[in-house]
Amino acid sequence: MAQPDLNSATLPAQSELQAFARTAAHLLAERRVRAPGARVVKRRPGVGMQHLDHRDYVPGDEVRHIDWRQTARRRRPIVRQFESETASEWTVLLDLSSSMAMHGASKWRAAFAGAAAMSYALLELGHRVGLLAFGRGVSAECPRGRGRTHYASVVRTLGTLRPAATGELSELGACGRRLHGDGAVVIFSDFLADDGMRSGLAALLERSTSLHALQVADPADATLSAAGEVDLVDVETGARITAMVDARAAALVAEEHAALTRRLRAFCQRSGIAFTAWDVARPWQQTLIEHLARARSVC
Amino acid sequence: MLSFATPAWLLGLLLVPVIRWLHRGGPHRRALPVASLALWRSAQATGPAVGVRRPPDPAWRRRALIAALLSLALAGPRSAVEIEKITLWVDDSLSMLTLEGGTTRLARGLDVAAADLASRPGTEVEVRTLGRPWVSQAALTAETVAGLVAAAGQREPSLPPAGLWRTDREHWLVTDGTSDELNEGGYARVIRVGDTRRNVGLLRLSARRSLEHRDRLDLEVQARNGGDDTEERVIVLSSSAGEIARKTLQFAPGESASLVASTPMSTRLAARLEPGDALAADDSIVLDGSALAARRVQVDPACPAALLAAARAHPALEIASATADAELAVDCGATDAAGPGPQLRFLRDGTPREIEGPLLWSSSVEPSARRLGSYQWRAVGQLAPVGDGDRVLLASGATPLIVRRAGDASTLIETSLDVEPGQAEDTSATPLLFSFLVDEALSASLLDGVAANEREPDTVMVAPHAAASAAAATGPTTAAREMRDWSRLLLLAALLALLWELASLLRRMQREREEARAWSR
Repeated sequence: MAQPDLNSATLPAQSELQAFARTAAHLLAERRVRAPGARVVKRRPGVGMQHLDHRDYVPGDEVRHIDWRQTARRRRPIVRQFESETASEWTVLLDLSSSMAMHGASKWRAAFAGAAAMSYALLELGHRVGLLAFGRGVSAECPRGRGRTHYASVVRTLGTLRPAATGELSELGACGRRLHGDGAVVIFSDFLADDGMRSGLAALLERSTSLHALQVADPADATLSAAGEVDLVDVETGARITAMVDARAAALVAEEHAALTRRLRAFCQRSGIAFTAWDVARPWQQTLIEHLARARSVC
Repeated sequence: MLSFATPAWLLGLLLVPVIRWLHRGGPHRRALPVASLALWRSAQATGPAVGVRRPPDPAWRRRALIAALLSLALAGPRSAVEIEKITLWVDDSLSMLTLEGGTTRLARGLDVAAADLASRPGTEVEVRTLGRPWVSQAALTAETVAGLVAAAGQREPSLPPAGLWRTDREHWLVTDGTSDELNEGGYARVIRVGDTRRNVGLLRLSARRSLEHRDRLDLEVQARNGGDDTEERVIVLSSSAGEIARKTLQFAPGESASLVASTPMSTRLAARLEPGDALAADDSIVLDGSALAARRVQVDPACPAALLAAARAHPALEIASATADAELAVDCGATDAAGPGPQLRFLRDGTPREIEGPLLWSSSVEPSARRLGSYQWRAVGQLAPVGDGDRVLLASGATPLIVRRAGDASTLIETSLDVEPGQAEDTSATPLLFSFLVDEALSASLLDGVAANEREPDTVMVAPHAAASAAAATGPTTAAREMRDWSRLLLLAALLALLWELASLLRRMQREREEARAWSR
């Protein structure tokens, strides 16, 4: 298979990003209904100075947050939890598996634009934003940062990313070790795995304050240009099956793809994950706005 | 009946089931990448998994065809084909020009042969003559017949060469049966023509210089009765000056008679028989007498008397007064300018001396001329050194005595032999030496000049022999069998199948490339 032209994945225009940031600003702001005259305080665990609560120590927690008095009293390591500041932490996860490179990397282009736009909008609102690209493992990382200048770092990181044409798996769980449960996570992926990456989502759910899943879908994944008996090769695993491709098979594949999306959506609803199935034919602005609007009722 | 030149190659046919077995897995499937196999589980083909054997790739037939065709072609299949091949031998002797019924025997025989061959369409015919058997004509067309009639009688026929007597061909003969020898052999068919049995023909007309009168010619003409009856003919001899002699002769069957006459030197001599008969070609004969005319020679007055006497006594020479008229110049040192023609040069400056050692002749000198070596010669002077291209005709040790000089357009022969005879020497040596040198200079044998035009005695025979009549019966006709080779046809078919296979592979490669391009979009 010929290598698609991945370099043609371009960033959205500055005007588009600014328009999107303005539109998304109110969707990314505090959502709690406040009584008149009440003090606006968002009380949720996060990075801040105000002490909120205690919890048991888990590997990865910073040692400086251990409350030694409570530890001595309860005879187990206890860490302090702080109230999150208004400016929250966000991490954008970008699927770099080989399936994203299929069909001219249409899914990769969409995810690329979505990740850039989300990063831009969040940084405009003063949030700290980081970027993780994952395949078989974490392929690239842009540490969290704040401000417009950090957007340049995010863009530089995005510019180095190329999904491999073959052999790159989707191990979403690999990103869990880079998260510390102190921020929101946005995932751009096609979620094409045997279990729809549900195990990975579950792992990330424990390490994030809120989780957004955007399933980038291309209808071409359910079609083949050839007919008859062919050998189908999974571009990620290299597994091979012999299939009889005809109209009936194409309908079954489309149905299977829809079922995968349904199962993933149901899992996300149960888990409190904001989920959106994104057809690459739809504009990223519309998709992201709808997702953020939907996420206000979920997260 | 089909046979094979190298049947071992037929073992290659065993490749056919092997090729089918190699294609048992079915057509070559295209491998297409998909984003996730999990989506395509429902489309997975289950036929082979449940034991349903897939049909072999249809391409196996094409590839097996190529292997089979190549094996068969290499085995060299041949089949015997009944193809009638006829070699028509034509007796083109002079008697075949006998006129009968307004046409010659040869033309009539060829007409009969053409009619017979026309009744056998598809027959491959080649026409050869017994006079020039190595020249063949592809078919018996009107042009062929005209050419054969025009060339007949020029060469005496003989039996066909063994190399041309191919056993895969039928051999026919068109003849008038006048020669028993020609009728021998296994001809499948003999077309005999001719029923005229009377002919007298001239066999020979010869002329030589008269021994008594050097300016006259002695003539002899010979005729023979080639028929069955006694004939009477008048032989008329004539020259360019007119009729020379006339004589009436009686000829018994098979007998010959001659007429002798003398005539002044003439360049054209002819003889004819009166009255003419059916074979007109042998009723006259012509002889060119120019070769017997005396050659004009200019002799240097300074030459010795013996040399002058030899020149005058030579029967084929005539002393010319002027150099321009002479065909040969004899120089003894008194003339400076050499003429345009051949020249003999005798050295005269010096004292005669005895020749020491044996005389050595060039191998090109006729043995009859070497008898000159038996005389006691003396040498006068010294010849110039022998240059490139010069040929030494006579030498004594390392000393050349007669040299043929090269480099000039005309011939120059020099000799240092003394032609002034001594008192005790044989006076015939000088004329013989002079005759030898003249022959060398003119490249001709003048003393032996006899001009003749003659025919073989049998050429005038027109009556067929009894054996020929018996052989005229139609012999066995067996169609020749030709082995037709099918290898080239099979190789061509294999080549076409190979091109078909290559085209299929190319088409498949293009299709896969287009699919890959479609996937990459």
